[in-house]
Amino acid sequence: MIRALVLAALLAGCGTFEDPTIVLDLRVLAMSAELVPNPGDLPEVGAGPDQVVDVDLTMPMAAQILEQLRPTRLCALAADPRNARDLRWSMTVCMIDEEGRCDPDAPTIDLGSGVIGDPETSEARQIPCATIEPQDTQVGQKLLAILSKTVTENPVQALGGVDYTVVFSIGAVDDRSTDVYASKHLRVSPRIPEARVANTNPRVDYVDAALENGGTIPLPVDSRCSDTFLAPRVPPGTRVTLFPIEPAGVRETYVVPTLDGQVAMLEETMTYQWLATYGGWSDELTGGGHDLLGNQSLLGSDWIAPSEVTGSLMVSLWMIQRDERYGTKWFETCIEVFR
Amino acid sequence: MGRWYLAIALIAIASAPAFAQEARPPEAPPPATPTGVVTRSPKLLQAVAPDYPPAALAAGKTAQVKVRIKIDASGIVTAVEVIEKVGDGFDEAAIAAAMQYVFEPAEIDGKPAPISVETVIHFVIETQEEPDEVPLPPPSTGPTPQETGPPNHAGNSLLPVTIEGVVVERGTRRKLAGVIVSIVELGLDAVTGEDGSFYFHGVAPGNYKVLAVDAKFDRLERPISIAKREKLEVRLWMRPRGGNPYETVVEGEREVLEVTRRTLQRQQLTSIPGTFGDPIRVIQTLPGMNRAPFGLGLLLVRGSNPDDTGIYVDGHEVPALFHFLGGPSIFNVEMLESIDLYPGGFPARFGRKHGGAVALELRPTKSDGVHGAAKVDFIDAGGYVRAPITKDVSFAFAGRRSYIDAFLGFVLPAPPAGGQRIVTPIYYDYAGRLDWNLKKEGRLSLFAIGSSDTLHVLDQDPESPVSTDLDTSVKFFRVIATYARSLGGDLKLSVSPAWGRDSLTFTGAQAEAAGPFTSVGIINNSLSYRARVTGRLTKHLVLDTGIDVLSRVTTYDALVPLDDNLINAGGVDIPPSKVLRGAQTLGIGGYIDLGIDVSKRLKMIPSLRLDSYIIDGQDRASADPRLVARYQVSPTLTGKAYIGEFSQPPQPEAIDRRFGNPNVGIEHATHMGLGYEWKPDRLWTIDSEIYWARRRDLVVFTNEIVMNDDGTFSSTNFNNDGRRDSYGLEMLIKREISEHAFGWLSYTFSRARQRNQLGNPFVPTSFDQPHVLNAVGSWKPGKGFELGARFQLASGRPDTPVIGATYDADSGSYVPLSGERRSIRTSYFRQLDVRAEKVWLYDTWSLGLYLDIINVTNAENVEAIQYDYRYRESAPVTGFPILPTLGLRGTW
Repeated sequence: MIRALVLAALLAGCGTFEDPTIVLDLRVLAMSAELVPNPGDLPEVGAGPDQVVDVDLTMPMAAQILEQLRPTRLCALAADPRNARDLRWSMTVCMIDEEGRCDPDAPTIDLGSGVIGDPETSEARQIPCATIEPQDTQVGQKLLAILSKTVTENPVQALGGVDYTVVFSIGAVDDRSTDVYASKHLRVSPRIPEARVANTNPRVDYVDAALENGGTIPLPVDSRCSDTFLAPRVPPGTRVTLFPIEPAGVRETYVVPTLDGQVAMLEETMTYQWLATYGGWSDELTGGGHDLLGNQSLLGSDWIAPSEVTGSLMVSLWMIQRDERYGTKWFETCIEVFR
Repeated sequence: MGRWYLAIALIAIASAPAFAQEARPPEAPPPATPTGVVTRSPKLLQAVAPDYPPAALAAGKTAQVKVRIKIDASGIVTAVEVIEKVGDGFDEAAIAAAMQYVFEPAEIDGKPAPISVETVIHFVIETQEEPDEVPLPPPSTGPTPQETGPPNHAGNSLLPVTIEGVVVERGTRRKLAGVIVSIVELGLDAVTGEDGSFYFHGVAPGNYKVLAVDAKFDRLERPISIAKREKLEVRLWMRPRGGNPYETVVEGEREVLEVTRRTLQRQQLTSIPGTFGDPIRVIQTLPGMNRAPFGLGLLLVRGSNPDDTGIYVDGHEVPALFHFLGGPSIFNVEMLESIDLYPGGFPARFGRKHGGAVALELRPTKSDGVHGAAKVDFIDAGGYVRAPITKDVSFAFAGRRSYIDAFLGFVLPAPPAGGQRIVTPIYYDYAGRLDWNLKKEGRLSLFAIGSSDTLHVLDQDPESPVSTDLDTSVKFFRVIATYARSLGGDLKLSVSPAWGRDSLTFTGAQAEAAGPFTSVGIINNSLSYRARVTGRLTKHLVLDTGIDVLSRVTTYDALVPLDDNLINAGGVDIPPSKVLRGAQTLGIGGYIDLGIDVSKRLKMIPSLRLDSYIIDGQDRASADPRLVARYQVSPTLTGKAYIGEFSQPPQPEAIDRRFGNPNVGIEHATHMGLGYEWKPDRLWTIDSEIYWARRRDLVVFTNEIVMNDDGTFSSTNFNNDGRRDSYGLEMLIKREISEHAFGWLSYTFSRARQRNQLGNPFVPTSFDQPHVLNAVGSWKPGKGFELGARFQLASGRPDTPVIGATYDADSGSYVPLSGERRSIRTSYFRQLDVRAEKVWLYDTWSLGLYLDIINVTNAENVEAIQYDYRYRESAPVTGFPILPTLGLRGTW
């Protein structure tokens, strides 16, 4: 134990790399999934990334499962601060292999592809989205094949839900070497136990932004710097404490089956990832469960404005909210650093 | 002025000389009790002065002739050979004289036994005016029979003793036997007895010069003056050659019952650069050992895991224990006599491991006065003391404590206002031994050793909701009792019970909490018993047999969050819950090694080890036959080959019903090897071997989940699907210890590949290193200086390339995309360590100041690769930079 701690400390203390909380170039920041009534529809309130189906595990009927599966809309949030360019993207559904990657020997489903305008400077934010349409015959059959293969290779997973993956890639329109990849899991679960319900995506009421002097600043909601004329101004070096205010009930209670044939009642935890184009964060990830000492970190994180600023600097900030059941919500805002 | 010559024979007896372990010539009778202890050295009863070669005398030539004398069990000299020829007729004269010596025979385990001794016969020409008062006896004529006394008496024994004295080593106060003490003017020579004493009878009043000579000490001349009716007492302090205390190890001829054993003596364990004087780390420089990363004290034998190699203290297995930061080891070198490494094909008396064996032989205490040692450096301080209680009962005690905690407060950042920051790492160890010589009834010893490593961290900032109150401790204790006695003939019995307790605890809490939030307590109690009978049964048959019982009870008491029962639920915040688990293992083993002299040249050693286990209430058994052959091609060259089976029970955690699998079976291995040992002369040995080993049924982790009959599911956790194959070549070129130097060059070529599950490909093991080279040297130029160096060159460790990464949008982190598993290596490791020590010798004690510099060239050795958050950039994690250590050590 001690040796491991020392080694970890040694490893942690070596090297100087980019700060992962500062978005410098093309990155995927988040992906979300929501059930929709029909392809092209907007998500229903409370829609989430997974779905629960009624199925007889001793004799699962493909048709029975397929008719219960609903379309799922997937969207990705990307940033590319260093460049002003259009971006080419695509989404693919695949089966997860032992290493958590797309199994090349299993069927895949091309969900969609396209080109979006520059994430920072286009006239309006363009979010790449695509929808899984189980009722589409070809898509449905492939989706069933993916789910069946997963169940065959690990029968117990069917009890806890079958996971599959959507892979998102994005890069410069004419340069595939710039492509970056992200993946998101989706889950289809049998209604075992009976009380099991599908997860919904998390959300916040708002994000509180407090200054060291006790004052607060209003943050524009889900707004790029190029979209707003209301970005609050702070002097260089200012410390701003961002704190998510969760609505009541956002942390759902849910049941999962156990290996010994029982069920366990659990409550979701929430984690928050903090990102910005400039400055620095006191914590990269907040929230989550207790550590081994019993500490539970605060949900908020301090953003420290860059101190070497002449004139004005617009800074994009992101907060990604997640639960442990693949639920995701993002929040984007902007602060102007002004000397 | 007369001119006469003095031929001085330095006869090696008692504890001072070297009893060389050597290849037994074909015509020599087999040694009687080769694996025993020399309980009495041969005593010279009759010496004959050699004839000075006339031509050499006329030419004024002097010489020192090193000879090896073979003495049989009756004390008769059976053969004399010159070790280093000097010519001019000196060699022949020395042989002729030594063949006429008569000894009182040596005793091994209390029984007369054949032995070899090495001596130096000095041919010295002295010029001296003949004294007026005392007539000189002619040197070529010995005293008349009625005047002859024991060898440590000189002069007419019918006359009273007028000069008596004792010869003592400077720095250690060790009484020296076998030293020639002469009164030059009178031509009187005495050979000191086992207690270092000498006596001269009937020396007339006058001024004389006393001369003391021994091959391993500086020549000592001291003027004395004796008055009428005076009895003079003198103490002669002899300075070891090179000015550094040098204790020669006495070895009887041990019977060879294994194919490859590499032995390090105590002196080699303390002065190897870069090893912190740590005996276990010195083992890492021998062939067959892979380099451990970050300077850790892991014993990686032939690419196997550290757990596969057993460490045995006087036959009882102990965990390979090091203090935190991977060392130093808890074994005080003063408590050790030697360490034997068996990299493969080891004897059947070492059981329950299928990698290698490291046998630590403890150093018996003696009733020879109060002796001690102390050492101080930047990290810790320790001491050792040995003292008699009675003539036959003696004890030794050693202890060490770190004081890193005292310095940490100066380098740690100050705590925030109103907060506190305390980091207290402390380690200490202790060992004690009591020996009782029961004479003919045998010998009884009690040895206890323990260690403790604790770390307390308290960090609290009133402005932060996060605080730390962390305690860890690792403790170890063993007590080993041993009774050994002769069974008559050449057989020797030893029985040895032992008890041990190891514990590991961890508690974690917030600083303001009343109790721990999480905790882990692992306690391992072990009780073992060994009985061994060893010795020569007949002229052609040597036996080593015994029983070996081990009972181990491991308990786990933890307060931890557990999600192993949940299906498809990760990242859940689960409150800690109490977990009480236990694992019991009872092993009963029996073994036999038979050394059969098939012919004068061929020795076959068939072995069998049978082990029966009760593991968590279930029976297991293993039968491991082995066969070793040694063929003496010539007196200096021996070929060797072996094949054998080895077994190892699973670790306690692997058989736990909840977290392990009580159905896992015993691991097995097959070892094969072929090699030779060549001893071109007394100081040099070359040992080389090729080997192949297959370890099968290895207990490995699996994420398999199976459905039970009642429809519930269980995690398999572990199964026996692992397999590891290794092969290689080892070579050791070793220069034995002499008063001026020792060292070795070891090279290992090895490959080790493992498959963790059926159907998986074989990949290099984590510790696979094709090439490992170690060069170790130590040189004593004189004036108390000792200079040493160690150079290591080793292949880098296997690593898996990262060829890309995907952002996991569900966790917010990047997942690396790995290439072929362990298909690349870090760069070659190279490191030069140096050590310099200066010893100041005083009559009753010595003081050494040493500087040990690790990585003196400050080479940047890559131990691992680290990546940035999205695996685009990488940087090496390097090992030790240049690291000097200055320390003091004293002995008395």
